Amino acid sequence: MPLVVHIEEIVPGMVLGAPILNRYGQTLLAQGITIDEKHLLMFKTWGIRHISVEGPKDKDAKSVSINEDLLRLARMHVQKRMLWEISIPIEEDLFNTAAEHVIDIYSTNDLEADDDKY
Amino acid sequence: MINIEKKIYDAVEEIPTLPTIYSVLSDSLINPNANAADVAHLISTDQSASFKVLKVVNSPIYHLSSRIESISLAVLHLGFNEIRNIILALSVINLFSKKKILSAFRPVDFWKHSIGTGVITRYIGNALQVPRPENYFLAGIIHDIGKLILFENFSEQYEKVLYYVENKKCLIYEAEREILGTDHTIAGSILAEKWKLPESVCKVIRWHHGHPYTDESDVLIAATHIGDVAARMLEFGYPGDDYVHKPDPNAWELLKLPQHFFSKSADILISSYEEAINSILNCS
Repeated sequence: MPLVVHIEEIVPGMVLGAPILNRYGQTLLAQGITIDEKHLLMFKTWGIRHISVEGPKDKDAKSVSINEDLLRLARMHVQKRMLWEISIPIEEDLFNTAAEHVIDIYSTNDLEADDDKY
Repeated sequence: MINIEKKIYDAVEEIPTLPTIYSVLSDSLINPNANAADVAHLISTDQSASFKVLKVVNSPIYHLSSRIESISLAVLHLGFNEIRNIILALSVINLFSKKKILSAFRPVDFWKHSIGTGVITRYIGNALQVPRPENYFLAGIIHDIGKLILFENFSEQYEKVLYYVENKKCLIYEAEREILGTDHTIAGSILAEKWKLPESVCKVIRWHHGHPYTDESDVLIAATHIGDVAARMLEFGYPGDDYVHKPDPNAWELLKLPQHFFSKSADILISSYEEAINSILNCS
């Protein structure tokens, strides 16, 4: 199953789990490509922060994927600031985008401390 | 209430008029003989402004195909109005950046929220391919300008507003109405009127917290309203409270953004925001 991985956590040898598209839907990098140093540089130039990978090839990389637990904490963090309920798909999309961003800007410790409060 | 509005008018009287460069630029736009080179020359005389303008136009929200290294090229690619508005936004930030700091509210965090809103609003303008996108960045940046007038001139009462927000866990404009009997949309409008800002931008300042959002002419207000919500969701800066208000269903309806708009544009929005705050506020 593909995992979403942050740019800082990508290691050469991982396999791209979904194609990278530009804003016109054209493929920049196809699914199945094995990522090397050159690709890492490309991601940075393109401003890409997350990619989908086929699952880590080496065992060290296992710990770097965004796990469900962290995502749950991030979602709760966003939710407690919202004074409303999600009712349409674009709101859901905004919510998910915010949760993913929260994982980038807060440490796991912060999010766990947050969780304890509720 | 009448009393406080009178005081706001008096306070706004004390705020300087817009910087000369903006009015000179506005005049040159009306002048049929002005050309891109004249305008570019005018802007280039202010080195720090031109440096920041180039940083902003090269951020991914403007999706220019190549890097722009000069003001005259920037004018050529984005038009006079867009460049003039970026300069206006930068001048306003400059004018208010050295102001008072209230306990829970630093101007730098206020501007981060405003710049974040500007970036998202401008990007929504791109996505909708609106006919006049040049007001979108400016509108987002100055939509909350009234807060600065209030906290600068009624600082003691504004401390109470911030305390109320903290206690009641409400939005700042609700607390402003409760404590001051007015809110930042009204204070901001008074300043916008004095500065003779474009009418559509004045409307954004006045109506971004509630409007029918049904008419085509409301697209800019709706985009700023959603930009504000998204900037709060993404925690771009701090608008004075830690909450996200409900996006107005009519605003979504009017804008008709694609379902995956935010997930698809997240990388662009976040990197543009970071670049913008870095270059404009010299911080991250």
